[in-house]
Formats: sequence, C-alpha cells, structure tokens
Amino acid sequence: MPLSRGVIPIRPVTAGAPAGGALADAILAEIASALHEYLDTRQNHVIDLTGMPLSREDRQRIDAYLGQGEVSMDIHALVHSHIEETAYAGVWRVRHYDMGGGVHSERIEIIDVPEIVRASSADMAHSARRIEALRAEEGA
Amino acid sequence: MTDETIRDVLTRRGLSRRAFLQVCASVTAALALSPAEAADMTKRLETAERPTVIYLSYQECTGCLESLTRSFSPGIASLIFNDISLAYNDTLQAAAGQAAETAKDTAMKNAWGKYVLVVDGSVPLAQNGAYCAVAGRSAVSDLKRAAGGAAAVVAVGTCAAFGGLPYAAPNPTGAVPVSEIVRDRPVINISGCPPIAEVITGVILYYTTFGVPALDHLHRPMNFYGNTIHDRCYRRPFYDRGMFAKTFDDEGARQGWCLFELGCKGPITHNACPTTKWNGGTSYPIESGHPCLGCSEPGFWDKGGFYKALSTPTGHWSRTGVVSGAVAAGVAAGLSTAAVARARQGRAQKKAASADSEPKNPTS
Amino acid sequence: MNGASVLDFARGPVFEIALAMLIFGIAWRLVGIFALRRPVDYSEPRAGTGWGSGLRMIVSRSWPRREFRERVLHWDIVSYIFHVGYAVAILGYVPHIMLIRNLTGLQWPGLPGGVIAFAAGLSAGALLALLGHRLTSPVLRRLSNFDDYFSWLLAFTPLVTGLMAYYGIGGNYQMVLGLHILAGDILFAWLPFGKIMHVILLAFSRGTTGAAYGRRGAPI
Repeated sequence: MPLSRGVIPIRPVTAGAPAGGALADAILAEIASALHEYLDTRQNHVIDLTGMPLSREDRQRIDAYLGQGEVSMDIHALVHSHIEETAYAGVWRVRHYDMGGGVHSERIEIIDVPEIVRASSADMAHSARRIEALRAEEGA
Repeated sequence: MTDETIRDVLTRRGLSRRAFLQVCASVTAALALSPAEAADMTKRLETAERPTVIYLSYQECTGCLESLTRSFSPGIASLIFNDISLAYNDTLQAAAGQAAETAKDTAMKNAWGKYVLVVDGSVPLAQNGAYCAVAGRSAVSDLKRAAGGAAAVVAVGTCAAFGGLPYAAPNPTGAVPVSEIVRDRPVINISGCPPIAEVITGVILYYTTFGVPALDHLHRPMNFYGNTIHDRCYRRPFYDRGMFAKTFDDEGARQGWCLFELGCKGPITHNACPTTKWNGGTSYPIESGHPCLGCSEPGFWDKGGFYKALSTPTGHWSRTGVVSGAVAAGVAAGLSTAAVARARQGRAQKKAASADSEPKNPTS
Repeated sequence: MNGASVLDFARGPVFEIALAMLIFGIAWRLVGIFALRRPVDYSEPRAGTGWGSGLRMIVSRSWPRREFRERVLHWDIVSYIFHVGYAVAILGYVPHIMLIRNLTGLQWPGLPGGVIAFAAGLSAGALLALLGHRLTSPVLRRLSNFDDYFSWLLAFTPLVTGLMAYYGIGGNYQMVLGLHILAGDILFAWLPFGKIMHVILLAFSRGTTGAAYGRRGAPI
C-alpha cells in the first residue's frame, strides 16, 4: 500500500479556474472568425491553449465542440508531436509532448495544413544531397 | 563567433525544420506570447544568430543550475540552452584548472561584445572580495571583466538578482547583487530560489530575438513576474471567502484552503509559479500544500519567518521586553503625574481652607 | 523607499514602537487618573455605594434620552454605523485576527472578505459623513480642536488603505499594504494620547459619573 494512502489520508483537490465554460465559448468564436479570415486573406491563426486558465468544463466543451476529423498525424522530430484535424476542415489540434510524455504545448491552428507538417525546401534540398551522397557511395 | 543560427544548429544535427518549429512552439508557449508575437518570434528565430551564453557562478549553491539542467524531464528550452548556446560554465565543463580558464577566455574572446552573460550568485565586496575568488581573481573583478564583453547580463536566482542568502543579515561577506557591480549594461533579473527553468531559457531566447524584455521596477521580465502568486492562485477563492488552513494537517489543509495563516507570502511575491509551474508543469509549492516562501522577492530570508502570517509583526524586538518596559514606564509616568497633581490638589485645598478661616472683610 | 521596505519597516520596528507607545500611554493615563486624590463626598449616600448606578450608566448613555432623540438620533445612528463597521473590519478579518493571535494568543473564526469590505466601506462612508457634520454644524465646529481632526484622519487612513489593499487599487500591493500597516501602527501609537482614548476611558468616565449621581439619588 502506498504510504500516502495508508498513513496520510490525501483527498486531492482539483485545481483550475472556478469559472464555468466561458472561455470555451470565446475560443469557439475566435475559431469561427479565424476561418473567415483565412478564407479571405490566407492568414493562418494560432490559439495557444498552454497558458490559458481553462477549467475542466472549458476543456470538455472544447473537446465536445471540436470533435474528431479525418486526419491524424504524428511527428517524431526533436520531440513527439501529435496533430489531428477536428470535425471542422482546416481546424487542427497540435500537441507537442516533452521528453517525459507530458504536453508542453497545446494549440489550435486554423490553416489548410499545419505549418509544421510541410517539408521545408531547405530540408528537401538537404535530402537531395543525402540521396546523391548515398548513390555516389554505392556507385564507388 | 560563428554566424550560425539556431536553425542551422538543428540542421547540422540532422533535425528538420519541424524540430525547429517544435522549439518555437515551446518557447512561445512558455513566454505566453500572443499569436501575432509568436509568429513574429518564429520568423525572427529563423534568422537569429544562436545566442552565446557564458554562465558564471559566484556566491551560490548551484540550485539555480540544478533547476536549469536537471528538470524532471528535460524540456526543449533547456535542451537549446545546454546544447546549443552555452559556451562556458564552470560547473558543467569537464576541463579544470588552467584549461578551464583558457576555455573561458576563448569563449569570451570569440563572442566579445555579443554574448549573454548569465551570473548566478551574489558578489562579496568585504575584504576586497576575498570571500569568493576563482583562479586567484576575486568575483568582483572577474564579473567586471566578463561584463565588459557582454551584450546583456542576466542575473539568475535571487542571490544574483537581489543578494539572496549571502546578503541576509548580517551579511558577513558584504555580498551585493550583480546590478550593484554592472552599471553600464542592461541587467535582467530572473529571481527565485531557484528560478523556473523555462523562465530562464525563455528570457534568454526572448532576448536573442526581441532584445531586452519589458521589466518591472526590480528589473524582472514582466512576462513572468507581472503578477503575484496570489493573483493567479487557484486557492484564491478560499482567501476571499475567509477559509484558511490553520495547521498543516487540519481539515482546511486537506480541503486545499488558503495557506495565508500558515505564512504564505503569495500576496507580495511576483513569479510565474501558478501558471508555468514546476517540474515540467506538474505543480507548484502551494499545490503541494506549502505556503509560498516569497523566494523571488528581495530579502525574502529576512521577513520575520516563513510560517508567520504576512499581517503579523516580524518580531523585531523581544515582545516581553517591549511590553514590560512600556508598562513599567507607563506606570512610573502615571504615578509621577498623579503625584504632581495631588500636590497641586493639596495646595489648593489648603489655600481654600485658610481662605475660609480668615475673617472676611465685609466691605470688599 | 520601495513597497517592500515600507512593508518591512511597518511590520518591524514601527510596529514595536507603536505597541510600546500604546501600552505606555494606556498605563500612564489609567494610573495617572486612578492615583488622583478623590474629592471627599461628605453627603450621606441616598442609594447604596453607586456601583450599580455606575454600571447602569455605561449602558444607558449608549442611546440618547427621549428628549434629545429628535435632534441627535440620526447622527448617533451614523456614528454607530461607523463604530460597528470599524469593529467588524478589525475583529472579523482573518489577517487582523492573526495579529491579535500573535499578540495575545486569542483567536476566533473570521468572516469572508466581502463582508469585511462591505463593513469597512460603510464605516468609511459614515466617517466621511461625520466629518461633514462636524465641519458644518456651528456648535460642533466650535467644540472641535486639532485632536478631533487628527484623530479622524488617523481613523480614516487605515480604512481607506485597507480597502485599497483588498481591492488591489494603487498598483503596488506591497506599498499599499505597507502603508495600511503603517497607518494602523500610527493609530495604535496615537490612541492613548488623544480623544481616541475614549475606547478605554469610556467605561471609566461613564461609570464614575454614574456612581456619583447614583449616590446622590439621581435617576440614571
């Protein structure tokens, strides 16, 4: 039996803003206007949820509203990132995990494809060089 | 000094632009930047030269460096800091003796005028600075020389920022904060005992991209030190409702009520603990049931006791002495005043009596 | 001087000096009064020793007699609002109770911050109204001296700074809290030396008068 359960009765108190789901509504409104903005000007928009004092109710409402879409992706670069489209096309949820598996950045992006997914020209040039080097090595 | 950017360093290590964007997301989240600022920061980081950081330690306990390098799970920001920008640090390097001094000189020479000087620990001035010396040079002269080539100085930890523990009364070493020595360079104070790792790295990256951030009157970045612990505390509603834990194991403590009565210094302490939190965002002291010690404020060691409520006197002098002295003096003063008054009363009575006994002149 | 040092100063040496002055002053005035020569009353007591009448007067003088009510009752009520609000704020607010516990070891449960702020706000409003009355009433104005206005100011400052600290007005919380405690310190220190000493002398003066009248058989 863990010490904490047996000796010290611990009754955890959940932290979080005591407010209801007011922030969730504000975020939905922001997403709607960002979609219009993107269609008009191709300007993408990012809502960073990491530092927001979201209550549990806020989170539940955001999850319920946004739902799950057709695409989900995982990036294994410096750290692990999980990207999924919501039920709304062009509204993405991007989570970056730290080395311990915790979420260290969580954002909602409004864009056709999240920027982080695209292969950059520099990286593609680098790839070309690597393939050429490999072929040269094999040819030699 | 190479003209390498942070992006170049990642590429050289075989990491893609995606890794770079992960870094950007981490940093902008830590700094709580607005979407526009975050986009701007990403753009700037792309072309920003990688920062060169020289980290010097004086009168300190290495707790700040521990916070920075041994966080629960190394965050991206600390990875950047340790692997990419840290050019010199006494504690982390393998070199020792003359080799270490040479490494320091080389690091400084390579980036002279451009590096970010991180200082950890206070600087003693008593006995010509003899209380802290590195390689035969006193901390104060070492700091002056290193600051000469710095673009900015970041004082990490309460010791470097405000003097901290060495500065606590009676301050036997004559310790002073970095800002007392470095006067011709911007000094950014990142106070805390220790400061949060994400705050240290966030501020350094912010400086690399945008320059000196907005600072409060104690030269701390407003991004992280703009609010008090109390302002953002999840236990605040209990304070407002007057519900307080009286001891560490009573019902109130278990229910997570406000820790004001147990000496919480949250109302006067500016730091990012309630939002950024510790150990990769796990929690912060109040969440673990302990009052805030106020470690990011100047002189937190000398505020009369960690477990003394903020509204109570710090207990400057002996209470018994003050009370008994005041009572004794008051009684003595009262008795002597009364004696004077009684004498006057006596004289008046005697005068009245003699006036009664004297024959009255009917004509007057 | 920054907020932190004002706060440290107010909680530290100034508090101790204020406490010393408070105790010294109370001891001085009480001993000074009790050690005075009492006038000898040669008349025969009409009703007992007067103790009962003394205690009765402490209570009976707390409300105006019927004859005066029409003229003064409303101002008495305003004064009560000030006094009760002040007492609630001092004795009901947990940080204040912490101070009392620190000094005396006594403690009792506190009230929610909102109740305290309401009481303090009412008290401050009443205090302002009373100052207005003092300045406009020709009789009161002639009766008032420096002590009245100074004591008024010392009573008012802790209320205002306390409310400012509670609502986070004035920017620098440490400075506002420091000034609030400093204002409290000054009130403590001045208490025995001016008219605010009525906090303690009230019972003695009414009791003495009541006892003297009672001996002579006057209705209390």
